[in-house]
Amino acid sequence: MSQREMCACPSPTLTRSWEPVVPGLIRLIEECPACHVRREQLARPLTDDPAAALRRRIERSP
Amino acid sequence: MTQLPVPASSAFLALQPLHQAAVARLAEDTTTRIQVLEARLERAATPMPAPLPPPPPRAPRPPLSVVGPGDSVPADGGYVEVDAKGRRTLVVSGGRTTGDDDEAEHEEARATRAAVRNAYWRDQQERYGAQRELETAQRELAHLQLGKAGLYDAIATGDQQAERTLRVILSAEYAARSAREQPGPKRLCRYCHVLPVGSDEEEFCGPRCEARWATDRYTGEWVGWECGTCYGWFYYVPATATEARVTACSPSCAEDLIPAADLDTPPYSTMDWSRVRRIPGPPAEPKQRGRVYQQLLTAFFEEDARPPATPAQVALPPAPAALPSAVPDEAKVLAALPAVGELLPTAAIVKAAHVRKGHAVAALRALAARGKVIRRGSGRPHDPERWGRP
Repeated sequence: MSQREMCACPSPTLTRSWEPVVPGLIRLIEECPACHVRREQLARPLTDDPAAALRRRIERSP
Repeated sequence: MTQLPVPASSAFLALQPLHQAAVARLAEDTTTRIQVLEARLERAATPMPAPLPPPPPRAPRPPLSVVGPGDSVPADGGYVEVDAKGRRTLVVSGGRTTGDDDEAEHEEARATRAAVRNAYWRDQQERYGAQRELETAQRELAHLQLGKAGLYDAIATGDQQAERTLRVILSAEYAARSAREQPGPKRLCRYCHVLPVGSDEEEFCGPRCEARWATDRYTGEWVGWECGTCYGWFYYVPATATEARVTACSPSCAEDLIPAADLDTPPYSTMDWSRVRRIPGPPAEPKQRGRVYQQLLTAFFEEDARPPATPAQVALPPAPAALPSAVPDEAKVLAALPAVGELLPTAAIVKAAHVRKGHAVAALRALAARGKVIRRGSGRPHDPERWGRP
C-alpha cells in the first residue's frame, strides 16, 4: 500500500487508523492529509481468530 | 438477546479508582458547561422588531384629460411629463419626483428593520443551539452519575447518548492508563483481536473496542467462522447455543459440507440464514488467505510504528555513490550510522538502513576492518583481530 497508488499528492505520509467492525475483524483506513482521499480495507487478524476463541468457548461450556 | 456480564472480574474492578477520578473530572467539566449555557440562556433575548408602518400615500395623479403622450404640463411645484406609452411622472423643480423623499425614508426604515429582524433570528438560533447543548450536557451528566455499569445497561436499551458518554469516559481512562502500561507479552484485545491489552487485568485494547463491545451487547455477541465450503469469512449472532456451531455460510454451502442427515437436525434445520453476514476478504487462494491478512496487518502497523524522519536524518549528505566496495549495501549502512548512534546494534541498523540483516553484518565488518566504525554491543567479546581495531 503506497502513497502513489492512492493519489498524486506530494505528501510522503498517509494518515493511518483502524476501527473495529465486528469481533475479530478490523477496517484499516488510510487517508491522504492533503486531498482526503480514503482507502479502506478489511483485515482479519490470525493470531487469535474469533472462530478459534468460539471453539474454545464451546468446548468450555457444559 | 444474549446478555453478557459486565467485565467486573478484571479491568472494571481493578480500575475503579481511575474510573471514578475520570468520571468525577468529566462531571465537573460538564457541570461548568451547564452553568455557562444556563447563563447564556438567562440573558435577555433580542426583541422581535415592530411591524413597519405602511408606506406614505402617493400624490394624486393629474386628470387624464389634461395631458396626452409627449406632453409636458405645469403642475403643483413642477410639471407633469407624459411618455410615449402614456405614463406620467410629476417632476418637481430640481428634477426629482415628489415620491423620492418618502421612498428613501421608507427604504431606510425597511433596511433598519431587516437588520433588527436578522439580529432577532440569529439570537433565536443561538438560544436554540445553547438549549440543545444544555439538554445534551444535562443528559451526559445524568449518564455520568449512572456509572459505567449503568451506562452499559443504558446502551443495551439503545441509548446512543449513553454510548457517546461511555466513549468519552473510556477515552479519558485509557489515556491515563497508557502512561502506566506494564511491559511484557500481553493477551490480545477481546474485541478486535489485533492489539494487545495494556495489562493482564484488562480485556480491551482501547476505548473504541470496549465501546463497540458494549454496543454489541444490545444485539448479542457476534461469532465468526470460516465457511468450510467456500472459505469465506462470515458472522452472525447465534440465537441458540447449538446455532453457534454453524460452519457453513449459506444453505448451498451447507449442502456441500454437511451430511444430508445432519441437515435435517438443528442447528442447520432451524438456522435463519438471513442473519448471516458475509465478510469480503482479500483475493487469494484459501490456503494463502491467512498469509495475505497477516502481511496486510504487518505492513499497516509497522508503517505506523516507524518514526518520522528527523531533520538530522534529512540533512545527511548523500551516501558516496562511488564507494569502492564489494559488500552490498555498505553505502546504505554507512549513511544510516549517524542515525543509530555509536553502539550499532545490528537490528537498529537493519531498520534504519532498510537492508537485509546479512548485508548489514557484512557491511559492518567491512567498515570496521577499515576503521570506519567501532563495533560494539554485538554481544560478543571484542576481538580486534576479527572485528578490527578502533
